[in-house]
Amino acid sequence: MDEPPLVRIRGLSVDFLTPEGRLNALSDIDLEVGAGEVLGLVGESGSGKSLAMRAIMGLLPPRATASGSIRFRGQELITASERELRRLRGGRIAMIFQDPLTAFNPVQTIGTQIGEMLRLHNPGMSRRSIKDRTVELLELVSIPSGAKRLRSYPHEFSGGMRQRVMIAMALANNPEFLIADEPTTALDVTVQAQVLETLQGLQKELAVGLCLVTHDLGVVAGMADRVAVMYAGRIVEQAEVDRLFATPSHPYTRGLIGSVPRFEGRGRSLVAIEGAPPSLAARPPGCAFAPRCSYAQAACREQRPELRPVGAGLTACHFAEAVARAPADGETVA
Amino acid sequence: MTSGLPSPALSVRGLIKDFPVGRSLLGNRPLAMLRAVDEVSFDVAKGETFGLVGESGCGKSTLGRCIVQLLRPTAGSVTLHDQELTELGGQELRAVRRRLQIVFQDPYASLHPRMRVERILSEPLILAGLPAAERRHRVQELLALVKLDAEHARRFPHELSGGQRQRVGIARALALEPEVIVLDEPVSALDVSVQAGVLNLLDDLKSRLALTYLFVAHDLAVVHHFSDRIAVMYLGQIVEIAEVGQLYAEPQHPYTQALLSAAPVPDPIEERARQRIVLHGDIPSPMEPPSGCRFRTRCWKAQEVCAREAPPLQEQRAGHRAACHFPGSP
Repeated sequence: MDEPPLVRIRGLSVDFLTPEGRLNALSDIDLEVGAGEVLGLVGESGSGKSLAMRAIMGLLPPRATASGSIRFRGQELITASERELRRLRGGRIAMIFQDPLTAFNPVQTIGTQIGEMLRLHNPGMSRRSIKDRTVELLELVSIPSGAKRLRSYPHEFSGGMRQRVMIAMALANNPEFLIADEPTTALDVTVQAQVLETLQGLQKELAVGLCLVTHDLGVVAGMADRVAVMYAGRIVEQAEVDRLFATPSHPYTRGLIGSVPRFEGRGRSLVAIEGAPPSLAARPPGCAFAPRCSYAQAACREQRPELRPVGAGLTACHFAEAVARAPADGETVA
Repeated sequence: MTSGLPSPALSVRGLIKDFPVGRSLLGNRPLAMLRAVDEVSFDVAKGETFGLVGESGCGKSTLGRCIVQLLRPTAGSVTLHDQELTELGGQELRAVRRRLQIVFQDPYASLHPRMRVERILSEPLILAGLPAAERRHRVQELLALVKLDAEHARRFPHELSGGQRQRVGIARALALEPEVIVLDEPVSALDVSVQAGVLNLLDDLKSRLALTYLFVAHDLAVVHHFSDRIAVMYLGQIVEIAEVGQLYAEPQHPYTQALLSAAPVPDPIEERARQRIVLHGDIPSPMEPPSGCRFRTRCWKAQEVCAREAPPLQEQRAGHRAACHFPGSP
């Protein structure tokens, strides 16, 4: 490929400086998102998925430092100045957060906040065209009578509507790359379906590259082209979506997929992953998943498996081939 | 509904719960009343898992709390093996609570942060007057029952993971050998991989201890996996109630159909093939529920009659009831 991908992350690590020393939160993350592509980033709380996205946006918490490389259309972001980052954020790179109520300013109208976003990135824009564009954006996310809603405050919207406004705001300056961090986790399932339909429609229509961060495998299955699974600060498996769900080859991915109750196949017991993810300070040497893994051998506790090609994807497991071949959980070998 | 069977373990009839909202400038009169639960009736047979599913604000948690009398219902009746609970006073109620327990959603908020697990589990035993030696024995027994190690007894809640904390919450509920347990969103605060372990445990305990569950949750897939029968709630009312296979195969109420259709499935091929029913609009405020059928503002089948008359919860076939003027296929 001659043209660099939209986003290319190589060897991204994030460390926290604490009184007890350096805590490594993310190690060696490699990710790519192409133009118009949807990458699902899956993991449980504390896996580092949100932190990785914050690193892209240059929005790491105070005591965190990032190393490695994050390139956006070839431009390095890790070493970029705050000024350069500010120009990108809300412009060519935008973000949708989980809880729109805390992401908005409660004492400013929706119109003012979207307008601010436009003004910041388009200094010469007239008031008239800012207003027109704002109404257009609200209509884009299916908020009826946008002109009237401009004067509403965030609390006057329902959760689903607020999330739509947030999507409108993120799309204000025609971003090329959009990060959606658990965009529908706070919503009820019927409202989630509405918001996801809007998000998916716009992503396709505008051909935005999207990184969808979520813990919900169902949402990923419905939206993503490719999926990366994170565990304890590392990517443990990465593959095209059909392959990941059909033949998961990391025991953690397998466990995750097997632990979701399904409408079909009721009555079989769920695959439970024993134990809990390790805390930041107590990550075991070797494979971080080994203490919870039924495939684990002595080698796993000593030597950390690197992400390597397995099937049509990448997996960080010493026994990935065996895991991929094993019958689906709950089935018996014939 | 359960005719021919012995009297139900738990029976709820015409349960109503109103909450006062706001307060007038002078005096203590509330400005309005919010009806969180509106004339709900159902039976739970002994040994059954009865699922109560609905989205936020539908009244399912309020209903659960009214059943265990943590909230006192405004009207209606709750009977536990033919004993009426709504009229009981403090002393009698305490006796009943031995037989009727509740497990809460957030194990962090429901466990005393300064008490060791041992103390948390002893508390109900002390109230029941168990001597100290037996208490220690019972605590160990309870820990083993929920698959925690004996050493966990010495820990504080913050030293446990979310899944372990919820196991302590379950052990506490089991302490006095209840017959019926209300599980109020017992796994929704947990990570998926941990959820499965807790669900499997609950399933296992149910058959080992011959428990009866009322399982309250927002996640239809979880409720479906876990329950024998399911009631679907919308804005304070039950809109459909059926045996789980029936409800999934032939949902009669449009809201149930939309819920089933909205639930994401962890299978990309199935997801792509799906024709999703996407509802329009938001859940109306329970302060001003729509006239007639409460779901009509979001329903694709709504006709004029739906605004005029509230559809009764009617038997569609044996054991399957739905409250809709136009029940059946979407």
